[in-house]
Amino acid sequence: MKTPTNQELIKRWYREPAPLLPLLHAFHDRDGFISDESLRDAAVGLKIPLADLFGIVTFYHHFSRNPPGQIAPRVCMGPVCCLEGGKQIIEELKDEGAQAMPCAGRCDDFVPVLKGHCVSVGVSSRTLEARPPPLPPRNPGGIEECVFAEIRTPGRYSIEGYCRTGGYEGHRRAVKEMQPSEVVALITDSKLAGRGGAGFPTGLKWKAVAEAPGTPKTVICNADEGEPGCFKDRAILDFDPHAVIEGMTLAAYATGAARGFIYLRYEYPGTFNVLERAIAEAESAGFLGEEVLGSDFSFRIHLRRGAGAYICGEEGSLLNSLEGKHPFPRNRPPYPVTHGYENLPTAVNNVETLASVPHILRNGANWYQGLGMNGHAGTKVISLSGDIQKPGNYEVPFGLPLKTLLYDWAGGARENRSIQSVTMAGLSGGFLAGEDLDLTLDETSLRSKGSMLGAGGIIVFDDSRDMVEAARSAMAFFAEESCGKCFPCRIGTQRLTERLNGKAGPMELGKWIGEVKDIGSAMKAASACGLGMAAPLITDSLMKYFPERVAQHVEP
Amino acid sequence: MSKPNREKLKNDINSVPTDVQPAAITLDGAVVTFSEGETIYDVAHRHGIDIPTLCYDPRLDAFGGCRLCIVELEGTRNPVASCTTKAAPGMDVRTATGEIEKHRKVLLEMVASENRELDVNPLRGYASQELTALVERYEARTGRFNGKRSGASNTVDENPFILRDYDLCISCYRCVRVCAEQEGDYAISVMNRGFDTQITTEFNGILKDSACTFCGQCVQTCPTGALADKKALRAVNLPGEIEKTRTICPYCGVGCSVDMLTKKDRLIGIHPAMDGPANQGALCVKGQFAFDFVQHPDRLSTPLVRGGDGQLRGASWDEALDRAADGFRAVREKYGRHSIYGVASGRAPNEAAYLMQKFIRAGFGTNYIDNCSRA
Amino acid sequence: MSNPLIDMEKPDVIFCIGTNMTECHPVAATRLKKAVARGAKLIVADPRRIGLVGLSNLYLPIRVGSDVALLLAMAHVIAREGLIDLEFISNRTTDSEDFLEHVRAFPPEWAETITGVPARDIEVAALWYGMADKAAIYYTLGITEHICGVDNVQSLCNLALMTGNIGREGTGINPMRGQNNIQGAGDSGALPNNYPGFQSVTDPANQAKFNRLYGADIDLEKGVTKVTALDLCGEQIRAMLIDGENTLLSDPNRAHCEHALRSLDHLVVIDIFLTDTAQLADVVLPAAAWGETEGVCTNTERRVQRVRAGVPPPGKAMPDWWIVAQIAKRLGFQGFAFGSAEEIFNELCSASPLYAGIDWDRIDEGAYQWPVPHEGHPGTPMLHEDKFENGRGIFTRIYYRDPAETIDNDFPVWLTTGRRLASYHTRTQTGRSQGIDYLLSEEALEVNPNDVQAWGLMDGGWCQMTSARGTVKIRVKATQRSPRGTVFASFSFSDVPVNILTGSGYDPVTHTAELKVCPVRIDPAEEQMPASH
Repeated sequence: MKTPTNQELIKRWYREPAPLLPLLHAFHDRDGFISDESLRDAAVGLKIPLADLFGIVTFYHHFSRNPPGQIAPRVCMGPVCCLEGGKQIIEELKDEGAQAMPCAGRCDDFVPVLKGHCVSVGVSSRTLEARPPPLPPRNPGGIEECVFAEIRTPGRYSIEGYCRTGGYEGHRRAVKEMQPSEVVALITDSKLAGRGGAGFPTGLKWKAVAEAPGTPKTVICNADEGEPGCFKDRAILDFDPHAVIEGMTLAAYATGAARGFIYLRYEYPGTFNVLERAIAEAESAGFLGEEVLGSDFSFRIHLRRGAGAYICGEEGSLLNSLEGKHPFPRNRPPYPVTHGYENLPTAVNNVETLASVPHILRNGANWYQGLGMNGHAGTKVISLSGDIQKPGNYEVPFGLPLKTLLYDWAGGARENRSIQSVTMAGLSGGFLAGEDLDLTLDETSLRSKGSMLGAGGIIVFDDSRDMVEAARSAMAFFAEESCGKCFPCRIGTQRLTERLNGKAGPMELGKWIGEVKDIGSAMKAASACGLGMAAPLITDSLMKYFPERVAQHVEP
Repeated sequence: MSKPNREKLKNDINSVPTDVQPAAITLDGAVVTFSEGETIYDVAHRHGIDIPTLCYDPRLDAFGGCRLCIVELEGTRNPVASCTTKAAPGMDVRTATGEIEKHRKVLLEMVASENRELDVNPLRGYASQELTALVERYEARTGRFNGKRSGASNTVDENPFILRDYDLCISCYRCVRVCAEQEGDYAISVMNRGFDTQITTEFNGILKDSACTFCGQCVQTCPTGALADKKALRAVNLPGEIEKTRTICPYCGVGCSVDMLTKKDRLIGIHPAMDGPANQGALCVKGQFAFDFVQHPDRLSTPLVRGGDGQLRGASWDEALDRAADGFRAVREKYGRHSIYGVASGRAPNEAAYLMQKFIRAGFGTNYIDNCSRA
Repeated sequence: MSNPLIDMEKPDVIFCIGTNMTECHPVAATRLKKAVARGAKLIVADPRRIGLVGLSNLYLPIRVGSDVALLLAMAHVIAREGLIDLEFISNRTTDSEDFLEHVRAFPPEWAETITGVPARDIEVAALWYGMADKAAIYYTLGITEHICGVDNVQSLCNLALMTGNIGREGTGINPMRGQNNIQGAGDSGALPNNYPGFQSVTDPANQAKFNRLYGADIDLEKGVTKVTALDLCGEQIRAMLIDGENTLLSDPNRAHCEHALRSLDHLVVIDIFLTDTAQLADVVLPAAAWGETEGVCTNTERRVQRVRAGVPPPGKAMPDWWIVAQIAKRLGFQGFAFGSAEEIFNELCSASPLYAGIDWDRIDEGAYQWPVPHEGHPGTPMLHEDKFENGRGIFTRIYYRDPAETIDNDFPVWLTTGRRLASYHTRTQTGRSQGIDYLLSEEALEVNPNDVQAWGLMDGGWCQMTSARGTVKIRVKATQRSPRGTVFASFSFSDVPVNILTGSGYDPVTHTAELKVCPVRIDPAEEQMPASH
């Protein structure tokens, strides 16, 4: 096939919704990098000021402006992979221009290396192989699941397999038999809440979008799973993509939205292909498109790929990114439910949230509520990784004791090791250790320890690990991913990293703690989004659980 | 906005019909009214409460970056940025609790820690003292939080107007926003992210190769002097205090208000007048930077008369004015009053044009007067 | 301007014609950009791809001097589609029936043959303008510097009247004035037909008023315009007093101008520099410049504002008003014993009904836009709100006329002239400001790249440009800003005096020169410094 010209690519995309990212990816995929000339043409073609466009491109981790660009290997240096050989692989692939990338969401596997559109995994550069990611393990107690109920059924990823296992039944029923408000009411009654971490009740969100003035409305599936130690959305999308698509159509039907986006993180190229195919299947089957199933409901889904920016998982940044703007978070209020994509009402939902919806439609609100333990409603997928026997994605009932998950389900620490500490919410919940590991997996319990469940990533550190180093690596991640919009986060993550790596800051413990605490409280109180508010939980929990190690670090 | 208009606005706000319950919030314990669309910052500002800010320019959309304007809002877990939070009925706001003031001081200490220096010459720009003033106010020059400094100065850009000392940059983005929102030029933007954030142009080039029109708005809104007025800085070593005189730009017909900066008898720079009724702080390259003609050595400083040799030579006022008057008198006597014509200037003030027409009309009794509007 | 500058942010549809606003009125343009960013539609009609075109939703690349044809066709479409504001027409205007009948003969297809703009684009422009709730027109010298300048302006008025786009926020007919106080010069009575405040010199009541005010017998006839006066130099006109104008460079047909001024018995020039014009004078009187003198200027939105002195004038230089008063006193004229600009301005206020409600102190903050008919009046940001000054708005039948000269075999290229962002007029000021040369160091002729090739020129090389009146040498710049067959130069640089070439004709009413249209011939030239004459 003839290589498309800039003008052909611009013509392909400029009338599409949210055209900037796919156009930039088209240049990137064609040349391996984005040339100045391509940027100039894109600026004219999409009517984006060139200076802004240049700034936007530099914001994303994975856009290259020079060769070798995209074909240079990018090696995961997430908190788990840097413990498991990531550093060594980078060293080995130095000649190919290897670079580090932040956690690429394969923490239940060997170290992932991204090259072009291909992810391979291995423990060293010699053993790298492209292979499908692992399926979520079953829980040993036979506890009933929701999101994962059918995920292990062979062929579930295809539309035939999905329909064989009850797929699109809820969709069909909703469109044919239910009013949109009934769908909203059902989801509200189920007590389903945002599984990306914020925990906002999904039914309320949909109701707000449905009632907000302005059209067209939009449903966005937030699949920019960037939190280190979180890989549940990838598993859901890889093995059960139609569940998410069905969830989105139900969200669209409930809210009156006519367009949908899936914003998928860059580091999941295989998942991109899965989704592209699934959307096409759903369109040919009449579940998506004009007048779905003969009704007057129309809905299209557009697949968009990020380019490597953790902050784009924050919904304001995600919206700006989609709109082709600099991906800073937006000021809130107003919220996306009234002023979202293109300033119109928008429901932004997490992958796991959307994947739960078809099951709730099929089995009812009471069924879903009843899946939780001790009065908590529903389930949560936990991505468990690090120094643990059986890492993987586990769907747990809310209220499950953490230790049940760690020891009974996942086999506990590796041989001759004990669990020293775990993170919560990937890195955003900070560390837990000691007696505080006696808790149940629900927000009430976690908040009481000053932490949070968030998107559900738990990274285990055994007694061989240096927790100051773990904290430094976590804070370095936040500093790297801080967008630069607000002062407390931009400067605070940098200063905390420097204090953890010993490159700056007082050499006297009292003063060191004073500075770190002051920075942390200013960040928690004043940051513009969750990144800056969460980052100091790392230092707070480090000082709380490992004071001797901190003292040794400051005054060796 | 001019003062009379501001008064009018105040009256409008205060003249709420009596049968309508005015919307009110509690501000530091006092119940105050607000109008639709006002932010907490606006309301506080209107009531004389000086909430500190660094990323705020009243002409721009609120950005919420510096977070110095955070206030406590009853019922919210965290403080809110007052510049981006719209006032809503019943809000209970505290603008300067001990906790809030502590955070502000820490934030200022953090900002101070990323900059090469805090004390910059006021000639750098209109807002250049903002950071320094806040650091003084909060006694934040403590040297805490030391570490890497941010921003790299652009030493390649040799344009004669705008100094790009980005090692004084604190990433408030006022320059980027004023260029986009106020000027509509979109010449500058933000490169990279986090602590590596850098103000840039397309392909990180020089301003002349960008969409920049050298209006200088970025310079004048910069709160640290990172962007500085190179022309004004020529006068750093001149003796004397900086004085300001309000006047109107000498160029096109828009009539932008400016403040002339002078030291003793030297005109050294221009500041836009933020309350200028026609421009609200906006200027263009001519109004901002093209003022050297005033004190240029080519200026005529003495009357000239044409000598017997046909050359112009210096003369006293008496001689020159006599020559001028004698010439008109002679022509009138020889050719009559319709032989004399006056052309008034479109640059000089009204008084000059008025006297020119009076000179012709009252003096010669004709309407042989025009101005240069036809060219 | 009928509407205030702040209004520029408010229209739904903006029609810019003959205005290179981003370069000539950059601060006003920022307001238009805000309107566009807010979603307003921008229509730009201009022979060149000026900066505004990049912001526009619709660009009408008209041939130079064909504005009337475009505007007639727009009126045709608006009438045909029933987009006229019947209520406004019946309440506020006269002669509409005749006009609406008149425009039936000028469909867009007809205008396409004259303007070169596709008929469908003319249709769209007319529909947008006609359907808008608030549509505003902005223009500058691209409209007035034609032999049909008055016709152009009246054509714009017709559009505004038929759609009721005047007298409301975000609408209006808005000429942008090019010089800081050109509005004030007119306000102050420096016009051959009007006393201060635009009071007609032929109105007996006004004559009586000024007779009384000035205690002198005054003419009952209108004076002649400057253009006529230059024609009469050496014959009827024998002496001139010129204040602050570099006539030689700024006026058309430089040879004619220079000849005219040289043929005077007596020429007195008041200026801040020894300009080309001043060098011809018998007496040159040094004026205090901007920044050195107190006074009042009036801007394009009729805002009356104080200018102030911050530094002393050089040497013996004195304020313009002082110089004029001194000459007057030496001639024995009464009424020139002024001690300050304040006294003069207050006399002007007493003489002008537009300024009747203001004085020196009241305008301290620039809060007033005239007319201010009496003390306590808040000023008039918007004209024509409830009624027109002269009662009803009058529709005018306009016919298209060719420019004074059109291209032919000898002069096959259209030259149009104008200004650039970084230089102002004849560069007496900007040319003497450090740094401006960095942005713009010399003049260059803007030529379409295809024409550069077709005419055997080189980008960056030199060419010789000849009109019926003269020849200049100028550097060539290849740019898409110029359409094929049309070239552009500014008149700002004295070493490239393009006004040697211009001056083919004048508007019969205003005597404004057709500076925007001049057929020329362009030939390649050897690399050398351009000749100054």
